Amino acid sequence: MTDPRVGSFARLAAGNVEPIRSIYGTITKLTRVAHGVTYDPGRDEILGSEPLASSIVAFKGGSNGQVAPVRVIQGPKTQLHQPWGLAVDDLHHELVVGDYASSNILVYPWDANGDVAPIRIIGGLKTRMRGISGVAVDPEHNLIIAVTSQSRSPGAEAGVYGATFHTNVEPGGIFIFDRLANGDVAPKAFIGGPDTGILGAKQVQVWHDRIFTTVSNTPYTPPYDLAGYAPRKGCTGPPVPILTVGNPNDFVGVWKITDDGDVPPEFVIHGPNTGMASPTGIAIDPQDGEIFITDGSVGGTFSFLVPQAF
Amino acid sequence: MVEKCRQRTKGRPGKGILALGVALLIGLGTSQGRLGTAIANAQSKAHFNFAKVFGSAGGGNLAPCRVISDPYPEFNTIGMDTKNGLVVISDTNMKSLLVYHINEASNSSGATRAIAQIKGPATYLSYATGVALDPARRMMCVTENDVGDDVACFPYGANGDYKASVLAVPHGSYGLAFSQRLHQMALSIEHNEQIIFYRTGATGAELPLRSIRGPHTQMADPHGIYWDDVNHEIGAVNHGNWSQAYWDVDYNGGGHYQPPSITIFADNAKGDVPPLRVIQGRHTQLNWPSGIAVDPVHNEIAVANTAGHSVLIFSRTASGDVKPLRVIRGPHSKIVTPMSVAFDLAHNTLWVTNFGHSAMVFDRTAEGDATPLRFIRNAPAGTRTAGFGNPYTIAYDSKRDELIVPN
Repeated sequence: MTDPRVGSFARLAAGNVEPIRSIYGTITKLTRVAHGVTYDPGRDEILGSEPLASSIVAFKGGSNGQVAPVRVIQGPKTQLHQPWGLAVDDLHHELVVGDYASSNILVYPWDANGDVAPIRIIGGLKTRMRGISGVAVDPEHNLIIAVTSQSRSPGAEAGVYGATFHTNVEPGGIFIFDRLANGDVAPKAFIGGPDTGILGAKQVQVWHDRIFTTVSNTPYTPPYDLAGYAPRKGCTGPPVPILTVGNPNDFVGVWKITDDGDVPPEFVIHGPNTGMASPTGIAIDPQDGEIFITDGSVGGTFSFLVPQAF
Repeated sequence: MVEKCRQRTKGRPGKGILALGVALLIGLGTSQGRLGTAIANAQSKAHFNFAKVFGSAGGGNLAPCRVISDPYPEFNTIGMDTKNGLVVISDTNMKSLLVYHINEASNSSGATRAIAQIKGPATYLSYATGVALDPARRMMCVTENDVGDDVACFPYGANGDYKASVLAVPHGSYGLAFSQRLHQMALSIEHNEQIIFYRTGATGAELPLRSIRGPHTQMADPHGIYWDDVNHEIGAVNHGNWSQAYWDVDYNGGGHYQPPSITIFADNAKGDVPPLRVIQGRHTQLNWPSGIAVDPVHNEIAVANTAGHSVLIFSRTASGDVKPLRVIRGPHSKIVTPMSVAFDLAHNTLWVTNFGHSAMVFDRTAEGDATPLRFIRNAPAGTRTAGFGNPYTIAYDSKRDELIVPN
């Protein structure tokens, strides 16, 4: 709803500081609603997901100003609808994309450019995923991890985000697949259920044997169908203004990569001292033991020094 | 925890950070926090056992080492009622509406005195974007982008956590305009490239009257709109991002980019109709155009050209790849990341809001690196801004030791 720039800040920056670099302008092909960004140290690239153009754009690391992307993944072959979460596997040279609308995990070569078909797709009823918001890849254990805002209940129709959103669904969770899984396959493990505290998970990172994720438990149902033609059946008005109310049950959670089922997190960042109202994005710096969070309610970034979580 | 942060980050959190933390905690203790707590309690009663979730885990209620955030409002879009002397500007950062008298000024270094700041959970204000005023009903309205999904309206005189009159609208609404002639309200919807129309005064889940949408409209990620009641036209600026795949999971055609544009339609248009005129091309200088206003007296259109750090003035009847009649840009103009424009024909001025802490008032015919006649500020002059719009996601650049945050 503002300029859809990509801003870079020094890790140690604090307060009301301007970005030290900013990528912006029509030439960048950035759109509002960048719900996924990742840095690939292997190629020294910044990759962003652009749902409003069904595309992925890549910039050289350290880019500044009105610069063209070095690569754009876009077109019918890509099967991109609403790309959200992104992750790069520098060991196997792959780019992993979570698509919110199609509820598919799409895997491309890490240097994909143009109208390129995915080399693998994980999606379908057996996966039980619905509304993929974040992905991570663990080349060490050969896993792909996806987090969702919802999951399909057993027997639910093969509906995706559209008109059936929020029907025949259960709370979301953490879905763990073999890295080379392809097609409509059941996850190797699923972390979800009342004891996990996950109603909807937003974004995810992996480091060694730990999964780091943001959990947003404020219910949100768009009032209109996704196509924007008419209010959904039963709609009586706009949704609760979730960005201004916050939710004390939102948190940052850490699980073991070997967890499966209704397992509580082993580490959380949660409570009024955190200052967070609605954590969404997550990034990690294992070397310094830090977790970085974005929060749209507060309109800022939060850095937590938690070496014990790694 | 702060002590540990200090050791590892080679610096103590500044007073500003500590003050911000206190402010955040105070915010969570207000009615905002109470409503959130009510939701949380309902979830706990349903089937979640958060005591168990949080009880056995390490970590807990930890303070952050560092926070990057702007404690001031950030101006976004402007609405104006010259007859009643009101200027209303949306603010996505504090999630508020700021109301000023049209003759207010801030020629000193301080913030300009606002008549009112509407803010709080009862207002529904969140990612506040398009603003329009309805002098006939004495109402000021704003639409909420992203998960706001609404138009919230307030009577003149509203202040604080005032209960809004709200209408549900499609996801991704941006621009807002009224027609006194047709008694209708129009919104642009970024996500599915449409202008959607409602009865003025619609609330709840009232159905739209009609929409302009489809490939023939040539709209792509429409932002600001204007309604020209004199010439019976409605216009929109477009960033140029297009994807039916976004909202139609059965569509396999992918997305595409097209050059930014201004699309102008008959104001009674409906369906997949071509625009009357399109301004688009290299000569136009359009670069993320976000705001637009019409001057039907002098037959001109002004555009807030966000990434061009400029305001472009076109003939109202221009079409094609045309040069602007005038461009306001340069260091003296103080135009940086402009989000919206508005004509005040009663005072022969042109208003421009920067995304951040200032709005400028220019002579209507200003051109080049013109100096503003006066400023409206929501923070002391020179205050920097982190400039977050909707910081949803984040990455860590391990090579440069930097955080990467898109809006």
